[in-house]
Amino acid sequence: MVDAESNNQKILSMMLFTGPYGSQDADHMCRIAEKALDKGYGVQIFLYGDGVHAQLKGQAPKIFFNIGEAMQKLVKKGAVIKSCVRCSKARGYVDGEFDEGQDRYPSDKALDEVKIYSLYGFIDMIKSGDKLITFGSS
Amino acid sequence: MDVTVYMLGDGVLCAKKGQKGYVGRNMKTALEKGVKIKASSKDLLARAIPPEYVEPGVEVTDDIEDKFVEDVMENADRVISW
Repeated sequence: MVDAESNNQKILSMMLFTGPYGSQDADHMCRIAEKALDKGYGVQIFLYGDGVHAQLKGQAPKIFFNIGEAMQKLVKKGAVIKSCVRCSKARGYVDGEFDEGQDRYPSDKALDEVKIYSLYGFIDMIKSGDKLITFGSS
Repeated sequence: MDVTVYMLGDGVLCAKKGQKGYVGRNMKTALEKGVKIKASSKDLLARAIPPEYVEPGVEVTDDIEDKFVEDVMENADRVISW
């Protein structure tokens, strides 16, 4: 999770239910997340359902805002992004068992910046976040 | 209870002036009751809705993500997203 205990930083938790490019949900989420980071808030994101497709490596939309690159930028700026392992497995992202050392499930297809994780990761984000916003619907 | 509604993306379509159905009616009632409604200027323009076509009382807002984050993190007790 975002480590905010040490500095009283407020944390915004977000969940994405829909995949990128079919709607603007992922676009809005990334823009709001970046704004929150720039304003000094912690950001943690959980991808769920078709939202896990936002983690795919090599996205190259011709005219839309590149969600993959946006997510990489968010993590570079301090966001924590996790995605649901069951949703990821169903969609062919997961390559093996949970890797304790890396604290994630392994995936060749997912961006390194996104950690495929159990749904308990989302529960932790609800508990540790000050506010929760959801984008899209499953 | 203070209520603020933020309209982003296709949500701004609800802010169009002159709607005859229940969305238009409910919006007018909400505004009369003091609900603040803010619609993204960028998303309105993208959908060819200039300020003069927006329901009076709705605030056409620039850089809405900035205002939204500030409001959510500093002012809101609860947030519901649709």
